[in-house]
Amino acid sequence: MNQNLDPNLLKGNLDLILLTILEEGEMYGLEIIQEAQIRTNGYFDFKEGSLYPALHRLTQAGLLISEFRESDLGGPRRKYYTLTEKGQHSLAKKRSDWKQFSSAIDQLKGAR
Amino acid sequence: MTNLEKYLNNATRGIWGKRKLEIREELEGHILENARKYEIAGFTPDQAVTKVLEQLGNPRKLSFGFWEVYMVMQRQFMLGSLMVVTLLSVATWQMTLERNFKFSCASLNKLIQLETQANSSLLNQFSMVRNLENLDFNIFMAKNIKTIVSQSAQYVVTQLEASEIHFQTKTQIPIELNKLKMTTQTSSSVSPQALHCSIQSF
Repeated sequence: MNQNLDPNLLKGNLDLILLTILEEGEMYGLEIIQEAQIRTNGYFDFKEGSLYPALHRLTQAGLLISEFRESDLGGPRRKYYTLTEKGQHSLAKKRSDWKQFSSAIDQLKGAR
Repeated sequence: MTNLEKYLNNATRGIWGKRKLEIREELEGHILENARKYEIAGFTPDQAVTKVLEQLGNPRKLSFGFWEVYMVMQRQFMLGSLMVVTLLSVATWQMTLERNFKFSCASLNKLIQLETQANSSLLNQFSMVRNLENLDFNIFMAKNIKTIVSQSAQYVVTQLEASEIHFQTKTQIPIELNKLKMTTQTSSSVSPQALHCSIQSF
């Protein structure tokens, strides 16, 4: 994990990060982790163990659907996750909330 | 047991059935696929798996994460179900009480009405006997009255038993029915002489 990144900040926004990555299309766990690292130049290098319970939680909440498919490498199947319509609405809401929060922080700074 | 199996067992502890198997398969796929990159970099398969397991972190934290997702939801579902069952029970209980109460009132009214009709018929017969002032004929009429009383009481009992008596709880209706049954039995067994005495005293 990036040493400069506050773990609480990452934990608090994990849903937003995962939903944003999956907005691009269906992916399986390892692919999501790699995508997060690549797109943020290693900034979001989160502990892999925290990923799977979060994916399962979002699936249980109806924001994602999952499906097992055979791996092209052989061995265990891969579980692919896809954003649902409810997940898209949730992402839009979380994104809007984040922008408002970020804007409020900027306003605090500007008020000084 | 290999390190991988130990890890998977610990990471899925507390989860059961198909869900456990699916989580195991998902994690195993992640570990083996990720381990390949370390094997390519020169690590042995065991070393590669160990590296990946380190990255995944404490398996107990992972199992707790899954437990939170599934057990908390299950608990919420159970709590929700319990509340629904409780509400349904209370609603059913209230409806049953209300229905029994309405039935009780209706049945009592009907009983009173039928009793009144029976009594009225009986009184008419008594009046006839009293007016005739003929003992022999009175004895004849007494037999007739016995039959009328018996039939009237039996009619009330039959009517009430044929109605929705099974909805009834231990209220006044069964008591009234028992009284009527007793009347029926009594009137069937009463002798014409005894009935004649009753008529005389009437």
